[in-house]
Amino acid sequence: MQSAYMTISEVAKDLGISTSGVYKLISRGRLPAIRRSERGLRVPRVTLDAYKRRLQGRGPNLPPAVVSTATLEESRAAFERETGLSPTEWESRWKADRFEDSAENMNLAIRALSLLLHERGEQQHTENRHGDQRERRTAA
Amino acid sequence: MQMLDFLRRRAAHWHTVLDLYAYELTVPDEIDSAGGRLRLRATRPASYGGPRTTIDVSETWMSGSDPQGLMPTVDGHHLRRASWHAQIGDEGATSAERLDIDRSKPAGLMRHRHPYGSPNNSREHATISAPEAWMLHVETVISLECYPQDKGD
Repeated sequence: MQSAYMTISEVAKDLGISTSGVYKLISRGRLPAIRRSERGLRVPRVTLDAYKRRLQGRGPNLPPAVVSTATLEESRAAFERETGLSPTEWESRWKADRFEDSAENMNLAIRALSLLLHERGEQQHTENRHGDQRERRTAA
Repeated sequence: MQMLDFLRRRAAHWHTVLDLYAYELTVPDEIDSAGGRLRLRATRPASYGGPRTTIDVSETWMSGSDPQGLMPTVDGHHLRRASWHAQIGDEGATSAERLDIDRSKPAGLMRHRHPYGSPNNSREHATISAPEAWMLHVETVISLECYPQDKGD
């Protein structure tokens, strides 16, 4: 079976370029290389395959992003259905280290914070609106 | 730059970095601009005797520079909380290499990693905060853990 890692010389031969050309690709961030031992850099074969695909103009197929149109209330309700807690309660318990530090819980913590930041943005908008109304009453 | 544009640009940056390492996005990115949140997932199939690996990136950003100066400003926004998760091979916490950025942790662990081979409660201080550096780190972990002896050495 082929080795999963290639030396700089092997990559140069494969691409038909000089070893200095390979080092340039690496230093410019176009071809990842790692250091497995003191014996120098190695290029993962999978990253060379990806590089050659890009050279051939075969870029990644990207599914279009899903941009959320849910309201804050809908997002909060979904969070509470999933966790049984409000974002504020979740954040409070997360900060107190009461949840396992798993990847799933970390993602929930990121969602909770996002909802709280969204809420603050809404509250600021509401405060500004109330401030405007107070000014209009005073003027009248 | 508006948050939606920023998150799209951030996602595009991740796509570029992931593509360098032959990962493919298999599900659409999730963007919540009102909450400053981005999530994306990419997979690299098993190849050359190595494991299938899935990268799961989740980030919450805020507009403006970091008032505490803890995180760099990127296009007028700073990172509030993030998790960059690499599931290497089998399911399970010990088969994952994860970087978390979390201000709710003590200062020395605000950026911490959950190392491959350790359970979830294991945290080590980390300094990485850029996708390029982390992906290189993950690739090195895969190399050392999954290919301890490779005839290319």
